[in-house]
Amino acid sequence: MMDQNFSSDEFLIKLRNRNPQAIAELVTKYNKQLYNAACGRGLSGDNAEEILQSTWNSFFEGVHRFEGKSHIRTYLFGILYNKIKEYWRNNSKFLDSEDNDSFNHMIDNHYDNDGRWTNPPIDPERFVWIQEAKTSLEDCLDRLNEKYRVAFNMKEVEGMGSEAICNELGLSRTNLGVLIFRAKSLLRECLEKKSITRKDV
Amino acid sequence: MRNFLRYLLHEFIVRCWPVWLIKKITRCSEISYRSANYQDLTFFQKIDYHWHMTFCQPCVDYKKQIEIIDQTAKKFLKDNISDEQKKRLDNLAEDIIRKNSN
Repeated sequence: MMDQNFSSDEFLIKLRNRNPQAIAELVTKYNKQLYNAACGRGLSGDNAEEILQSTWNSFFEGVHRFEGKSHIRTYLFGILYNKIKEYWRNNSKFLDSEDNDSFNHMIDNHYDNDGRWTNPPIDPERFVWIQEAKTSLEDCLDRLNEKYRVAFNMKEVEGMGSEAICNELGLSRTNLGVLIFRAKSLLRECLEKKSITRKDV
Repeated sequence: MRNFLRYLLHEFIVRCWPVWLIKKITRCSEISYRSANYQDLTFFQKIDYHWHMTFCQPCVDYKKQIEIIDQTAKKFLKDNISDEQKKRLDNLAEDIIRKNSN
């Protein structure tokens, strides 16, 4: 496929006229990128697909309004991020839902009343086998509550800054810090259990 | 060697420091929290954090484990699509093209 200038007037006219070839070129070029971006925001595969479909629908409904002042990629990702924000707003309960009990129970097992370790972490060299790290981490991430997975994905996988995450999820800095700490502690706990199990086999 | 020095310093603090001074040391639970949010710490929190790390082996181990998790996540999970997901995405793309074409 030729390298297409997606923001040229000629291409935009083709898109507005619903030219199949132009649409195919655009969708092929950006579909996976949009999907990755949605997953990077912590959405599960099914939700990411749903958001992706909705993004393309909105794009094609509004393409006649797009004047080509920005790059088409910027416009597309703008729609995607707004859809994701809308999704979080509609599912805001997940950020309020608390599972303090299980987390506090885990924390209680690790520290004494003075906050010192009673059940210290295992030697990092035994922690995970690098060849198994990916599957183990994916498995542990799947077990995480959605709010922790989202926060962890945005911060560590996508490398977003704390302020940007707080803006997107409507969280305070303290809440985000707690989410990240809990996500990492739960991941660590899960991976540590896996490491111990593997070592004992 | 470094671990041994850390152990010695820890023993020195536990055995020789007065209790009121030991109580001033930031708790391991707080240090774990800071390990997970290191980028967002203030200058003085970072100094306190590194001071704690000079004598507390469990917190150092915790930090290393968190680093392994972060590095693994960055390395393997970014833009990671399975073959099955690729197929589903291709089908979705075909669907979108068909639905929106003349």
